[in-house]
Amino acid sequence: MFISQAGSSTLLVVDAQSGETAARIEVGMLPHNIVVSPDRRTLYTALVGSQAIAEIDVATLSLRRTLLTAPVPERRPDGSTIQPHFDQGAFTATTCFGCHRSGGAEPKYAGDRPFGLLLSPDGRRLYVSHLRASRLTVLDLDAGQIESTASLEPAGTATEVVAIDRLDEEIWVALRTPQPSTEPGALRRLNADTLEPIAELPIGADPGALLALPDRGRILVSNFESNTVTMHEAGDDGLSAPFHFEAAPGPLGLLSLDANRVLSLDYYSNAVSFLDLDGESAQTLPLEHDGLPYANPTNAALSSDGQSAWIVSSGTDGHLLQLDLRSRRIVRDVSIDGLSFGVAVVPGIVP
Amino acid sequence: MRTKLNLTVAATLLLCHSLAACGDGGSSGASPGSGGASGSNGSSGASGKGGKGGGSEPPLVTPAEPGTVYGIVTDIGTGAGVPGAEVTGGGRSTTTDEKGTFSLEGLDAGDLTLAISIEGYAPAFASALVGDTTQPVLARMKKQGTPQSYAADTAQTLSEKTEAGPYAVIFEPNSLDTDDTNLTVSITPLDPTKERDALPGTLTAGGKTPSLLIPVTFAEFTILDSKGKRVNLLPSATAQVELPIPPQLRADYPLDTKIHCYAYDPATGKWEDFVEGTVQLSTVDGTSPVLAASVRHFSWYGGAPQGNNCVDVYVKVVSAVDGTPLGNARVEASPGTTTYTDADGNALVRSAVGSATSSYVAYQTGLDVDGSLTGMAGAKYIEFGKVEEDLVGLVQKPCTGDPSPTPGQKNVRGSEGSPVTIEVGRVTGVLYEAVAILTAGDGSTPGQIQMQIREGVPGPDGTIEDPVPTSGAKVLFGEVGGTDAPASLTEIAPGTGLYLAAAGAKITPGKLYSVSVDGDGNGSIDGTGTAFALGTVQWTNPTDGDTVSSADFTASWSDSGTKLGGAAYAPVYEVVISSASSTGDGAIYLGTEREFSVKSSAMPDSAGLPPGSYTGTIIGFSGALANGGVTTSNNITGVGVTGLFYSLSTSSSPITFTVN
Repeated sequence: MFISQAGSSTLLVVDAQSGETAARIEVGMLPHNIVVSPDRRTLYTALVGSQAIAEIDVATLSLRRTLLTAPVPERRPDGSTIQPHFDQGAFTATTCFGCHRSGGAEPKYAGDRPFGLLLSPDGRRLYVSHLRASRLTVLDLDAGQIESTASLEPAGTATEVVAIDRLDEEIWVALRTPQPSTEPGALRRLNADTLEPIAELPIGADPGALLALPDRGRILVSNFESNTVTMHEAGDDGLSAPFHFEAAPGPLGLLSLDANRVLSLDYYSNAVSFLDLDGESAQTLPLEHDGLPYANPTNAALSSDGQSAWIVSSGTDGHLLQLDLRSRRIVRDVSIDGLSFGVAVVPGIVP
Repeated sequence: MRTKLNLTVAATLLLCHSLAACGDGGSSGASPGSGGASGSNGSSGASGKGGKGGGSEPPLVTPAEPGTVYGIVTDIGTGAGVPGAEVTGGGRSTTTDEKGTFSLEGLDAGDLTLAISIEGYAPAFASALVGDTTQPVLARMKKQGTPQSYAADTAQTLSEKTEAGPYAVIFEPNSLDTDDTNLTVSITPLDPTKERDALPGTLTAGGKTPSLLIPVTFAEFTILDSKGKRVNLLPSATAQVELPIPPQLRADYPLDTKIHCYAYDPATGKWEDFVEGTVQLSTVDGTSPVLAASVRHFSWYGGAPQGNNCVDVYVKVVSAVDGTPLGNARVEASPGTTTYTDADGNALVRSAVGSATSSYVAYQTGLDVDGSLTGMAGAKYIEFGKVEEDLVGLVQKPCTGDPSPTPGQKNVRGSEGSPVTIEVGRVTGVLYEAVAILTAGDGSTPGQIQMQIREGVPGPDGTIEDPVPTSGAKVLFGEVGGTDAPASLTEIAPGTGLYLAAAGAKITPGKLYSVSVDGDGNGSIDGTGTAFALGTVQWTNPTDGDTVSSADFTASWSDSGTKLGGAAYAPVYEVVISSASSTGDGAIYLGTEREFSVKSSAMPDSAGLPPGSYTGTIIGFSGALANGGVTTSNNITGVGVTGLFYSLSTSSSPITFTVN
């Protein structure tokens, strides 16, 4: 299991059988979302604070390379020259982490905040959304460089491109208003080839994650501030109101458990909700083990046997919790760093 | 501990049944069982075992009472003990006595979080590590902000104005979990540059690899219904809060900065619900930079980004009575980590480096075996000491991970070879109140610092009743981060309680200075505070006799402190422009900028000043200074001491100018 430990700039690799740490890989500032290549040999994590993507070699549990998601800027937003970038040859860097880090150059967190990740079906392109730049970047993973960028028009006050997923031949992105805000967000459908907009739909405030359900032709959105998970159909043009699950407050990550069930990670409720897609209902379960509450679940990944979900409890004390899906009980607690965010399970690794 | 109280205080104390009951420092000299011996003399059989030397395992202290904590609850604003507070934790509860002390027994070993409550104060929380011996607890409470009425079915912004700016909560209608519409809201501000010891819990992102969080701005929000029951947000509701960035930290957190925000969760004893807040201008006054964030639970709330640079500091805790190293003392670096001393009184703590100074507090419990110290055989007591300074020359390292030895570290203060010594002395019931004024030199005249100290027994509200001047105090002051050793202030004459620096004190405009107060002169520092030395403030636009245009009138002024002051030098200026006629129009500015766009306070729609003659005055101040209309927190804090430490500068005389 790979856990992005945003607070400590690392990916933690944990052996799912023993719970032991297999590796601790320093990757860059604020690692968040994680995606795994189709062949399971490579893992990518968005370095929100380093304007880069970290590419991890799954076999060796090591950082293979970093890829900038936007060029190193010459100027600040106010137009002034960033002289240290010239003085230190920053324009050849592949991450801002070389200079901008704890104890390094200010600001500690640099760049446009890459956040949402989506791999192309063939695993050769990585789509990256940015929180600060209303922009998608397409990385050519063979060449190791930016292939193209697409600017996204704001949707009212919603300018931050939070999440990205693919449904059939379309790429869907969720935009939110800079926080704090209770203004509604927007879901935008893009042509997967051209990234041209097709349609835009209103959604709840502060969308957190997208989960495409290709077998159902649906896509789910967690609306963090509106406390709902909305379900949209392929081709949705926003003319009809989508079905929404009343998740427990603060839904964030979404995990498909099987053909009919999705797990919602309810950050503010210290709970998870089982969303029944056929029954269009939700059941909420507090995150507790031996009478102890666990705070702020962010994301989860399905175990390789599909019998349990590994949940990141992202309080200041970090925990990776194993939720047995049959009994719906927490059966294991692995200590991780506080303020962690994402998790991915890659079966078959022998550390 | 020697007798030091003057006759007036002593007479007051004699009204009590015993000196111990009144909590004075009544006995004289070190004696068996005194603070100097506790923790290392083995009076209860724990001799020589000591603590774990900077570790986090339960230490061994005297007296050896398994599963027991003994502590004191104090008011962060007055330094006085808080009597009558309910203390709950580990399935036990008790109430503090008249000195603010308490004891809980029969606790399970391990981490313990104590919840402390009493009407008129924001809820407080303290922690301890319960083990084989009695563990010390020190909890600081903050007086609750002014209660304000709120009708729960309305959208409303409530605020509490402080010298740093307005603390605010913005309610949506019907967002609270109550049918009662007659509510009372209290916003309790907490400026971490003055009162961070009152923050509950430990500000760390914990887990496998602890990482320090640096407090920036905090507040506690209490909402009570008409029956006095605590009310919170509906599970699905949010509210916006705005917390001012303290002047000293504004350079570090400019507008649009994202700051990690947390809410304290009493259920877990941790800071949780991490979200990002944004620094923006206050929606209440339109000028103060505030941290705006969305909250889901009203509790203690605030912003605390992860630390960038830290230093690992060796600390030695000794008795103020005889210098004996004290094992098993709890040591708290702030902002920083908490640990316990080993048998030789040594500990290693991690402290964050930043714009605010660092403080190091040590305390422990003791048992007065023969009653020679407290007047009551077998009485428990608390010893406390504090040091506040920025340590120079220590190797900086990332704030992630546990404190560890630093290879190649030079032998500077705070290193292993030259630890920071914290002398601890017994906490008594006597309260010291200090007011210190810092005046910078200007080349022709030397600087000066003067401090008035008074003492007495606190009344029910925590303030001293019938205060009398304090003689025999030890007061140190020095430049924070400077190379010179702190200098002593001298009482100008016995019995006056007025302490001055030696003539010709070097006090530089723009520099940060600290004061340390040892009220009873026993060697342990009871409280500390910091303030910047104000420079000379002068009008630059307009100047005396000028004529300015109303339409684009921007008032500005200079401050000589900016030449040498760093980015953290951020005095608060109060600028008052008044009509020389009887129109009553004018303008007022309160903030840290050195200019502002002048608009009429009487005319609507931000109109300029009407033509006429006006006068203008500027007052700049740093530290804690009571100023009409705003809530000011004392900035000399500790245990058994409180006070104001400030520096002040005014434009030489009011200017007169004309607006056309």
